[in-house]
Amino acid sequence: MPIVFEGVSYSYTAPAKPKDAKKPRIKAKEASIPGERPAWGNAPDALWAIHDIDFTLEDGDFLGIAGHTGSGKSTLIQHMNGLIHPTLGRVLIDGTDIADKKAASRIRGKVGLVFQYPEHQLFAANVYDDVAFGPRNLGLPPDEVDRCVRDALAQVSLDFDSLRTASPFELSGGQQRRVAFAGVLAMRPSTLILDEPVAGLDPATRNSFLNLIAELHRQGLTVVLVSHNMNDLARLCNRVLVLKEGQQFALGSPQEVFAHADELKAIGLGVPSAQGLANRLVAQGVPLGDISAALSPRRTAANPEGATKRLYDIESLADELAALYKAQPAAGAIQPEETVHEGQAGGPYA
Amino acid sequence: MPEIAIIGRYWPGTSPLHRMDPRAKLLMSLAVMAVILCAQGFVGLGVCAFFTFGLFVLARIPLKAAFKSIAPLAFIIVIAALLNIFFEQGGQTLVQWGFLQISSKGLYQAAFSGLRLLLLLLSMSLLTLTTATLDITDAFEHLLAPFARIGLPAHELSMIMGIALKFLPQFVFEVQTIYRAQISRGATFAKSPLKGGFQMLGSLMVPLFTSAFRHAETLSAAMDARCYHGGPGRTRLHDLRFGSRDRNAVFVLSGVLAAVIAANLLV
Ligand SMILES: Nc1ncnc2c1ncn2[C@@H]1O[C@H](COP(=O)(O)OP(=O)(O)OP(=O)(O)O)[C@@H](O)[C@H]1O
Ligand SMILES: [Mg+2]
Repeated sequence: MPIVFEGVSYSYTAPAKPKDAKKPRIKAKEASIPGERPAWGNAPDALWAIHDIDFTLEDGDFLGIAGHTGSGKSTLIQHMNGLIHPTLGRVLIDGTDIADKKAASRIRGKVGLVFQYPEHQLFAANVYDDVAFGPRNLGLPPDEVDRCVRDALAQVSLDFDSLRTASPFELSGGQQRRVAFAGVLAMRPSTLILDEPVAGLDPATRNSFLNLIAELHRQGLTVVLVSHNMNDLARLCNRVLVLKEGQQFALGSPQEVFAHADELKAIGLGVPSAQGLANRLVAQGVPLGDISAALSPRRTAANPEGATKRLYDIESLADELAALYKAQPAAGAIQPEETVHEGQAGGPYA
Repeated sequence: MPEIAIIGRYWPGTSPLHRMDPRAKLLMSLAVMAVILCAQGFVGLGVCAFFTFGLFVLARIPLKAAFKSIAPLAFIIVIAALLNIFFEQGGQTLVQWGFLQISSKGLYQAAFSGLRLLLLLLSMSLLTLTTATLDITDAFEHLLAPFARIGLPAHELSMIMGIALKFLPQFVFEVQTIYRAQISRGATFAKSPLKGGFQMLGSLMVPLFTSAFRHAETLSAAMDARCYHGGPGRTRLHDLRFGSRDRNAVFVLSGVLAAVIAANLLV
């Protein structure tokens, strides 16, 4: 069930109504006049919250979305299950435009959206009813609903029997979030979209949440993860989309995207810490990446940017440094390189 | 933040109108409304309209934004006009349709009261468009201060009003998010209010109330932490001061009042 974004722009000041989504209220011409009104931001007359987004979410993808505060991440993901409709452009799921209200409600069971701080949306008198809210809305028979709730609670490792009658408001924050999460999983979506799912959790709960998400992906769910944490994105995702002021800034594999530490830094984002260290080492002339030619010059034709060729995590970086250390001629240290030249931005950078 | 302020969300600016003393502005806007109510004919209203639009130009607020700010209240104008059309009788009968009839006087009255309401709303929205909520509540507190002597809790009242106004957009924003979250879980708010309707409503209202309590707790903790105790002896960062701008405003408004009265008498 690929989700295709075709030139999607969204404006909070002139949102398209579901029924007339086909005819945008802002004409493309007006939209492109520069200088008339601030193109992005939250001034009263700013135009775009997101602008000209173009990509496809394939089945089985694990897409990470990063971007500075207010860059439009939350706005973007709400397009994926038809909560909001593009002011310009369209979103296709399975080839059908979801601007239509019926199409949008049909896909809601398949695309599960977990909002930021989902525990703030709990409402029912007990955990069971809250988790069952989604499946019941889908019109499933009671025994099916029951199975969905049991499975969902098991998935988030909550005990069904002890919690089913508990009030969600008596639980701890982490448990509340699990319940809210189960409420979305209970609808058995095939695509799961998570808006900063681990914000404000303690390290242990955080890790178990991320592991759960990775596990769901392994089981075949398509996952979209909005996060400010580059380490998580690098570790989990197979593709990363970076937004800047509502526009697509970079899209590619974590390796491609995080190779450009400087550009990311310029828009207030970092790179995964191990990769950041690797990049600095390379800039200092440490020949990471090609141990065979350990002491050859770094700036080869194949690698004009001086960035590392692969994405390092802590283990692989440590391994490689160890190998490098062993391969080192006994006599001397690694020679520092002459001045580092900045490469041109290219590759995934728009 | 969504655009919800019932009448005119603050439009940041540095015009003379923005910089007027909020107390003066609050009183003036009451006075402007009084002047508009004084007008008894289209000429008088014309003077008021000219004046009101002049103020918008002075405040550098686009007319489109002005009309947008009163759009949620437009139904009042429509209802008032319709009532006048059908219930105000006299003069020539233009249309007769069963027991309904439209007379020329009704039409005249409808246009007149519609226009007057429009001007009233516009001038009211001008206050909130050019004044930050905090300033409005400050002004409110100052103007109520004389009544504190007879036991009116002026400071508390304005603090409550200020907090309520401040949080209104926040709550609208949160309702929106909660609404979308429940829609994502297949909720349908449009149909069958009886069958499961209460649960749907609950799925909106319960999270809203819990968030209200959460905000109240954090806010009171934050105010405590800043040693807030309200009441007397509290100084402020920006003291309100009347200036020449405010005096000029009184002159201009008196001029307009004179013009309206003249229009009433002469036409
Ligand atoms: N309901 C709304 N009404 C008007 N403008 C909005 C609304 N929600 C967001 N915006 C504006 O749209 C832009 C994108 O907001 P969005 O919430 O998508 O950012 P984000 O990337 O999710 O930020 P964060 O990292 O803080 O969650 C911002 O400029 C924001 O001010
Ligand atoms: Mg967000």
